Amino acid sequence: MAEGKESKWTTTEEWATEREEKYKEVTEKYKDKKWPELTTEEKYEVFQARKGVLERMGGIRGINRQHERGKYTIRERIDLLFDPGTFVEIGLHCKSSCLHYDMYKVPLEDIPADGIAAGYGLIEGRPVYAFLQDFTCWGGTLGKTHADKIKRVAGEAVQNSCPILYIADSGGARIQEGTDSLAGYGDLFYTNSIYSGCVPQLCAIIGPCAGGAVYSPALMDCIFTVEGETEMFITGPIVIKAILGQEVGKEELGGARVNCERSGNGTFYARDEDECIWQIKKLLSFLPGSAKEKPPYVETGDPADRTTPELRKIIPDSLTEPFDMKKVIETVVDNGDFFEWQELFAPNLICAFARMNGASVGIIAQNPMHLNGALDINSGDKGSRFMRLCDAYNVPIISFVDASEYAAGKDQEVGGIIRHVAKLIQAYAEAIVPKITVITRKAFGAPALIGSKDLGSDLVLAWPTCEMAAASPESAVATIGGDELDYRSRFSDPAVPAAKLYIDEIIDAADTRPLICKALKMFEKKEIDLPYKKHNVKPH
Amino acid sequence: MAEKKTFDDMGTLEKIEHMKKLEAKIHEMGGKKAIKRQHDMEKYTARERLEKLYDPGTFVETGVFCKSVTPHYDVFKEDTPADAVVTGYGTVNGRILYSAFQDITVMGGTLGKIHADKIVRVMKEANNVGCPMLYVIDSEGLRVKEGPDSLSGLGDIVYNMTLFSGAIPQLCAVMGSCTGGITLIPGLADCVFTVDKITKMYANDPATIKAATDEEVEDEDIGGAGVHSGTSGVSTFFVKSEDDCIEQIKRFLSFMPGSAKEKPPHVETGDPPDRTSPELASFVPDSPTRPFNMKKLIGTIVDNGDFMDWQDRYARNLICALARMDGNTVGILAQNPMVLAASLDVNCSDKGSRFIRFCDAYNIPILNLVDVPGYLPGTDQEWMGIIRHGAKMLYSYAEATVPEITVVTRKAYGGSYLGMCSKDMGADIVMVWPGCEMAVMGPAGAVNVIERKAIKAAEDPNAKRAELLKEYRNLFLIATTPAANLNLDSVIDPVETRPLVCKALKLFKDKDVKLPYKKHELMPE
Repeated sequence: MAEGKESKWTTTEEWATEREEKYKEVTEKYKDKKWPELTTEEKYEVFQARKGVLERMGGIRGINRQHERGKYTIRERIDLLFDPGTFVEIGLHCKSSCLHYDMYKVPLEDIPADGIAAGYGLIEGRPVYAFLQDFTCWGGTLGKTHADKIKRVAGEAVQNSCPILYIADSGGARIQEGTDSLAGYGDLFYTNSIYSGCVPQLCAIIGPCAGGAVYSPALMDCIFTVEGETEMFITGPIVIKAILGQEVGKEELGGARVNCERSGNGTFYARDEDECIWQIKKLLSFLPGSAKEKPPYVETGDPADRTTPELRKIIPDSLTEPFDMKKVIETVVDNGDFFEWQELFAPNLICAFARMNGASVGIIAQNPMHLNGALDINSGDKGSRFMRLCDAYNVPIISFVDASEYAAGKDQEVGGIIRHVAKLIQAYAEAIVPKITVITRKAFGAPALIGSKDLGSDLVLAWPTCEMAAASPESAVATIGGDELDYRSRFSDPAVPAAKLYIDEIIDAADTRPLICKALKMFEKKEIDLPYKKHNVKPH
Repeated sequence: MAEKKTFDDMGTLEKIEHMKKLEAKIHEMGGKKAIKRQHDMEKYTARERLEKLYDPGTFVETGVFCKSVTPHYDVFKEDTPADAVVTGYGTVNGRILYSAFQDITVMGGTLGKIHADKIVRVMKEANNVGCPMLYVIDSEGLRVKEGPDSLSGLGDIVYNMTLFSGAIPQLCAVMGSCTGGITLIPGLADCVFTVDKITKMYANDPATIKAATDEEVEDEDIGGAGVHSGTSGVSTFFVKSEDDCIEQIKRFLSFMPGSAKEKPPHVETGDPPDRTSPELASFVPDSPTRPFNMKKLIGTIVDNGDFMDWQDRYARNLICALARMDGNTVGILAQNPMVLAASLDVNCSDKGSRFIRFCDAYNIPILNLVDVPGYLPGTDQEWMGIIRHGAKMLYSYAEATVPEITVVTRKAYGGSYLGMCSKDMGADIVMVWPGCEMAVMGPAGAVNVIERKAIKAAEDPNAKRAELLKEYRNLFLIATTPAANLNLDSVIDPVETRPLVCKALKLFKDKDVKLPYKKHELMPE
């Protein structure tokens, strides 16, 4: 914090001290009286003082330590996330009732709210249920009651069709509670799992979330991470060192960047907590309250019939020269505003939320700047989860296609590219939300099936530069002989596939936006029945 | 010489005769030379394969007279018997199976539009009547000359495979080459049979890989049955020969229902459900770290010791298998203490979660035999995403609505125990053997955390630690502690495992659970 600048902390030392002293004073005053002996007025006095001390979390030391690490406390997080005065807390007076290690004897004010604030409130005017782990008391460890609170809040969120937000900041299991704590996690994981796809479940890991605890975030829909604060791993550096002798730091092992860029566990990467909170609000704006609803409509002021003549020149003359697909997306969506999903992971496939004519849409597009837009193992994992999320929450999918073939390499083959790309293509086929395709350039081989008519795209639009065939000219000639020009001259004109309705219409790139906006309107009430099944057996 | 009769000149009998001749010609497939080439590679032809698979005389072929109708490259002028795929239905051990056998002797078994239409036609029929569908792949790839037509054909197959995924069992046997886009068929099937020295399956061929990354690889390195069964995880069953493959397909089908609407068939096995297993009394070693043979344990409790391994060569630290108990199909998941000390890792989570979802989709009850110490430590596991992969196991157990029975044989620690279907994750009954250790983390680690202050303050911290450790072990590692809170249902004599599991299966057979409304889940990838 720079000199002279006002502190951003609101739960200051003075704030906490005042509450603690008030509580001490009241406790002292009535120490000889039992609860039934108090008058109504006295009961109120005790209640107010106790509420105050419970809200001050784990006490001055814990609060200071949180601030020293540059982290907000849960009370500050609630203030930053929720519209002022809208958060309603549930279970502030909860405490452990576990017998082991005399946990039940730990005073109420030592672990206020059993280490987790739970409740509901409005975020940008829309109701959201939330639970925030409090690292300042007992390291935010999870005991049975702590888990029960989560379960209670999550159940209510599903009943009321509201998203769930979990802010993880916890040292893990409360070991003193033994198998009760373990059962608490079991409950939590079960809850996360059965509500998966019912209501959006968002998790921000702003602090430690290690060991088995991290499976709860992993079972939710997405994970927000913060540089320098997120610690997510199953086995920590100490155990890894002890067992394998590998030296690795926490940040390198399980920080925000490595999880978002390499392991693919993280979904959103933020440089600090403020950015993270902005991202949470941004994502929520695109999602409905539950799978039963459509995402909210937002007036964006960008006309639906705005044409985009600049797209006429974006496709290079050469088939293999990269072009900026993000520029295409930016040009087409409302106000050029789109929000990327797993931006740092598998950059060869772009996944993003945006609005078109005010309606929330999910965009999936090959990125010719990375791997020539070829599909690989990681893009399979990324894209399939994104499209399944869009489908689960009634967000239409728009694909911008420039598909070359599968990424080549031994590691891809032995790593199982077959099953990973199958998963991606299955996710597209399975989605029953409106699906709209814009083929910008190449549509070669199996990767071009994302967005194809056969896989259920409702409208396939192709720019005049679209070239559709079973294989790229290069590999086709390797199989059937002849020269590339001869092969291409048979198939490269989009009128060839358009003749058989593989393409619904060849369009002027300048009309892309107005045509998508019109289609979204037309497909608003789309409904499809799938054959009876309990669920799919998707590739792993 | 008499002028050749046109079809119109023929009488009815002659027309029948003529049609039979045409059909016989089609049955000759791509001709003698091509067939010989197939035999030289120790491969059967498409029609020989179906003869071996189906009960004699039961196969009914559809689309015999199909051929390519694509104008590009004048493909329509070529002779393409059955358009390179034999499709139809018949019975296997008395139960109906629909199938498509690609015929590599005709145009390299390439997939064109009509070829695809034939496959889609039988798939749809299989779904309509609620029967399994088998794809036998032996193809050089998409029929490039058909251009967007063949791509559209593949799209149609993929779309329908997706619709029927989880509706009817879809089996794929790769008996030959399977490259590029065709790999989506094994990729989307419920299980894949690969044949030693015969299967050749990859997204990009060695030449393309060489051109792209300058790596020198052989077909077998990236596409053989060995690499797909042992490393890539694409294959489910590794078989030694085509004959073996046919046998294994039959065996697999015997465990399966026709569709998700049915239960798997009951088979009289003659093994009494109340048979106890005295050999299990002292089966588990006293030391928690000494390995024991879990497969032997499985053999002891299932009907007649007979079980079929699922992905036997992949992620061997977790055993998945189909077996029968009291004549009913069960899916078994069990730790293998002989590999990686039975810990859970990325690959076994992928394997296990898919197996659980497969069982659940087809109403196969799940039995878990647990001896799990934790998750495999290491930077590579973390960076490969053990968090998202491990979560799939948890997810799949929670989602499953079939009967789930968990037997803890020795140990069950922390998150990994939840990952093997604890009570809270949805197990209908959790039975533990008396020596079982069940705790939130390893005892030594736990004591270090809880008693940090006491140990630090003691004169002899090591002695204090040992003392507290003993105390901890006595308090938490006795099965009655979790039993008191219903974290487990019963502590059983190992000898009684089979009778108790059989009883439970009987009791839970009509289990019905409703999950809250959703279009579908969002399990981690």
